[in-house]
Amino acid sequence: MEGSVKQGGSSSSPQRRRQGKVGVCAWVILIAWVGGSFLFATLSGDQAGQNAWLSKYQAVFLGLSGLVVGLVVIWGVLPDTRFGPPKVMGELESEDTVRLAVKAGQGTLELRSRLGAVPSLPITVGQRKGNKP
Amino acid sequence: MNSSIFGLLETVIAFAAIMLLLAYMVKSLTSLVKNLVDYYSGNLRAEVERLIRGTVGGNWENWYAKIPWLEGVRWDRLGEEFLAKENMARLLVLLDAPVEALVGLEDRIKIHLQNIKYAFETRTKNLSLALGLVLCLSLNINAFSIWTTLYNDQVIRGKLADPDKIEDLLAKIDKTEPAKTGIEAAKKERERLKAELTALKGDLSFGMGKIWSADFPAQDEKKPWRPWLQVLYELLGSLLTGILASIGAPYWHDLLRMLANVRQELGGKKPSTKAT
Repeated sequence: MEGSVKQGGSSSSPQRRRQGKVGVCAWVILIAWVGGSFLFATLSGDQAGQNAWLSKYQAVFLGLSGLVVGLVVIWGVLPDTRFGPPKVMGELESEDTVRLAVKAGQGTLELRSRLGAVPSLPITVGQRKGNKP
Repeated sequence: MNSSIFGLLETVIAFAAIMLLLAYMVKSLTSLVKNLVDYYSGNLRAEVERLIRGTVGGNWENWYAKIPWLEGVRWDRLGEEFLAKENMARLLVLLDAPVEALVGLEDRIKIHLQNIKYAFETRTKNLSLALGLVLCLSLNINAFSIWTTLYNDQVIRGKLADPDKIEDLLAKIDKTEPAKTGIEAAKKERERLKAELTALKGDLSFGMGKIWSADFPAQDEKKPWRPWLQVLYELLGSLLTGILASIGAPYWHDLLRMLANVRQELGGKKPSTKAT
């Protein structure tokens, strides 16, 4: 079983924040690419060279290609989504204790186990002296 | 009957040869990007972070305060040797880790090393898939068109499935050096790739880049949905080529060698004994 803590606000490290921005940028580019292609498709004619550089068919092809490649890049290649710094901030210490490394703040405790999903628990973590987990 | 089997075999051989060529192009592209974007160091740093945090808690700022030289570590110059037990034990002791926390450190390090390996390999495979898709979609290399042309055009098929050409191709690929690191090497690799792509586009007339031509698609007034069907056909064909080219060059290499030997045996010739 592994646990993770999602916190609002200032809990994430600078590295995670930076990589989060990369992810957001990637989504924005993807949406702009696909949206732009389909918009172009609605404005273009049947054949390239009549009204635009690309025909509506070519624009749709471009949009769908971008969608597939973009999703592969976002889910498989970019670091912040799956394979970057570990999302796991809590680790199983014993059978009934999960050790969490969190700062003060509010968030949602997510637990995953091989037996299935466990409902998320809202938690509030207070600041302790010495910043120890 | 025998000639149809032979024709099918030749088609598969020629198809595997083209896929092998594409797979090596994708492999070269992947090496190029891998060298330019160093994601291995990110994984290494993250696993070291995870190990330290799991033992003594805190974050990089706390650790820099105790070990100032840690801040100047160039992660891009380190390999997984850095995660050796001695290094980590020394580091954790400097970070005031209790002695009992070092029990089982070697086993924990093994898990972190496996995590690094898994993350790196998985991301490389995904990168390869993404680049394969970009290459095949942008050039509109359609696996269905390639297969159909090879199956129907005996002349093209004969040229590509020529035993001497296959041997030349396999020998050339066997000699291919792995990509070296550095900007100069990356530039050379890019030039080589560009030349190979141009040669491929010139050599193979399988409707590559068909979708980008001004007269695409052929209009049919009776069937207004037909152009969309052609777009779908090109899209699925290009996606399939991208996936097949990304699956991995070694598989196509071995398959091609095996099929070439089978064909030589069927044709009564002596099978190839060249080592891979």
